[in-house]
Amino acid sequence: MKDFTIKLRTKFTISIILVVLFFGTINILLIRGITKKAMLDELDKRGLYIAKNIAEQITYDLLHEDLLSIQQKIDGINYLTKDVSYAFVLSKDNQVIAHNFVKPFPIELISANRIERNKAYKYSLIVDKKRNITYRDLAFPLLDGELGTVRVGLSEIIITRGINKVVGIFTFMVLAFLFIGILAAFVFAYRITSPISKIINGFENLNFNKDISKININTHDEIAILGNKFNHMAERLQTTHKELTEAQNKLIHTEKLAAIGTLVSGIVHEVNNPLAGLKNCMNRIKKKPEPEEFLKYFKLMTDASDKIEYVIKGLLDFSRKSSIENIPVDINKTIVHSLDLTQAQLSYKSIDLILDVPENIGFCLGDHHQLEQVLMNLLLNSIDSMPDGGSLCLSSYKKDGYIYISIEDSGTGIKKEHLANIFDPFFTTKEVGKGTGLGLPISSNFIQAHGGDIQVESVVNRGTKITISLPEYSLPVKE
Amino acid sequence: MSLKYSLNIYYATLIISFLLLSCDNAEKNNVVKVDFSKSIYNDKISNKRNKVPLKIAISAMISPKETFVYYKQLVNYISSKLNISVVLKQRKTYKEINDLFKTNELDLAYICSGAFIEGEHDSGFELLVAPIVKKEHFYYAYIIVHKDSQIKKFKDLYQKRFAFTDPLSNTGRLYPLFLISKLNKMQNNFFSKTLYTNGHDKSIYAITKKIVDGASVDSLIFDYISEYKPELVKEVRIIKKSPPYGIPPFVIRSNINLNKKEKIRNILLEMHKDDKGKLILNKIMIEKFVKVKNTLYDSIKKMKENVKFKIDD
Repeated sequence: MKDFTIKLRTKFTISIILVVLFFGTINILLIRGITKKAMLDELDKRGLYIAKNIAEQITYDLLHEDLLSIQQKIDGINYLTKDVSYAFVLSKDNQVIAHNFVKPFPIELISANRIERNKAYKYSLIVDKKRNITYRDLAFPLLDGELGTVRVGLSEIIITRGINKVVGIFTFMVLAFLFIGILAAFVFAYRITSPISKIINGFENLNFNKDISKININTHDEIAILGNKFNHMAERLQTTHKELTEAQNKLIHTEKLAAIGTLVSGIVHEVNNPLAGLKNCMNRIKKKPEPEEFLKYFKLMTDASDKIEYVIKGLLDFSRKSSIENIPVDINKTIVHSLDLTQAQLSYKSIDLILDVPENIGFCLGDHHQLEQVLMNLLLNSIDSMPDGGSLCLSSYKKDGYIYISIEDSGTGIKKEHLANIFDPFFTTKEVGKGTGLGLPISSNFIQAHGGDIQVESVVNRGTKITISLPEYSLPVKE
Repeated sequence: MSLKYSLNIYYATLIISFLLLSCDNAEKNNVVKVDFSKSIYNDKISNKRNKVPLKIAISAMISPKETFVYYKQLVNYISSKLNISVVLKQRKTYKEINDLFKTNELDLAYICSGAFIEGEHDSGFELLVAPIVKKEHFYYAYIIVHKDSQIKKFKDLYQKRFAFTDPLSNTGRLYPLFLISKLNKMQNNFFSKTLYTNGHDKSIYAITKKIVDGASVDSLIFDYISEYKPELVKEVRIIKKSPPYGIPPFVIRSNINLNKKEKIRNILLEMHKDDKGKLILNKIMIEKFVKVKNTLYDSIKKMKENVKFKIDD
């Protein structure tokens, strides 16, 4: 499954949005709360001031029972300030003496805010049921309540407008910060991620077989240090890679020479026969130099020398250090060539070869030397597992765009506990000096390098079956 | 900061915010809902008023607020003794109080001696009792100036600003006019400017604030303020004290039920014998109430006869 990743730029942006929203929300709420409290306090103070003022003004009038003056003063409030929604004066026995309602006096208002004796003043929140307006109603006693009460109502709408204005300004500020924050996040993220992207590209384009282009970061910070470290690391890796490749090549060649060692006894036998034939022909010519027979002997001698040349050439070809190629490889040819080289061993060890390879099985893209070496390794392993003879079946078939080559022997087989290690370098069950332990790991590497796979099935004392799969290559059609 | 962590903080903020808003709304839980459309008419309100058995007035010898505060207990005392409700009435001028008697709107009043002699014959009230203050039933007029003033004598107030208390006041107006009448000097416009303060305490205040250069005040009020609020008179200097005059009396409506009249008189005359009553009297610096005769005020009447001119206000 692919790991779920979020880009740094996205993370920065989300973080900044969250931080701004976090502090913005807190700020707006706090400011709203503080402003509301301050404004309500101010409203209450204003209410108290107005009520005191009215009380001061009307006390004499009330004592003198000058109701007209009281009414005029209550009405006068409307001219003085728009903040007072209503004002009225109650007598000691809660009778309305004067009020500034245009409409008839709302009777429920009288009992809505009753002030206890000996209290300087009292606030109550009164809601107009029908219009849903909240009033801060202040009851202020006249001469300690002996004369009655002044009641002043201030609508909270006055402060709501003020609060909304403040909240509006702050919301705008938060949005502005959000916008600036997102921009800053992009710029900031770009400045940080672009050098990181350079490093990532450096990793992606790392090819030890070519010259490594150094990445250049001029940010003079930790990322620049990381860039320099990357350059050093790439250089060291390239050197190591070069050394490793050389060592690997040497090992492959060693393995090849080991295989040749195994092959030599068979090859000697292979060469001996035509050599004996050649010698025989020369003796015949020497004993009986009849020109009419020369042509027959020369033909036999040429065949023998051709046979020797063919065997020697095959061996030379196999033992040569070859450069890796990437060309279409004829699988049939590779199988035949491998079998040619092991033919002597097979007959030497009295092994029956069962060949089930269709003609023109196809091509794969790669290196025929490497594939030949793989087949050689596998064939020699099978031969080794049958010291007292047996049967070896080499088959080939195509399936789902892959070419399969299967080598099945009736040999000793591989123990179950060894199966997991057979592709480990230097793992061998052969006697000391007989095997390098590199055959199968090298074969596996080669097959994987060709985009293929190698599978092993084995039963002890019954035999082993190794199957190679290689992607099929279609030759371009020649016009 | 990881995304998950940020989101957690953000959710925490929202919760805190919600709590903040909840607190904000907590206040609203104590609201009273009122239907503003349910109403009554003003006439219904006023109909209920003025149905009180005994109406007492205290003349504005001092400011109405102070009068109310000081005399409320006296009024409540009378109310408790009579076992009927009593209402305390006040008017801006002495004349208005006198007029209330004429229309039977007042039963009992504590009035200025000047107002008494003015309405003695035609205002429908009669003398009930008079207080004893400092062991005598007399009081005085003080001519006062600011303590920094150069004025030493009453005649120095010539062409100065002067404060009267009330047109009917004895100590607050009649006495200084009497003094002018004796000076034989441009009586009509002796003062450069005059004003009425409607209260002796206000006249003292006018001197303190240098709104006027001189004033004439009631000795009872001045002494009372000197006793309880000396800071209000510390800027004031008395340049002249009048001869004694009959002290302001309690008067009662002439046509009131005789039984009620005697009952009220007795309550006042016995007040100093009662612990509660004594306490109240002490507060208003009255020792007791006594019966007096109308002749107590003859000196004021005489003085009034001497003042034949009118002051240009």
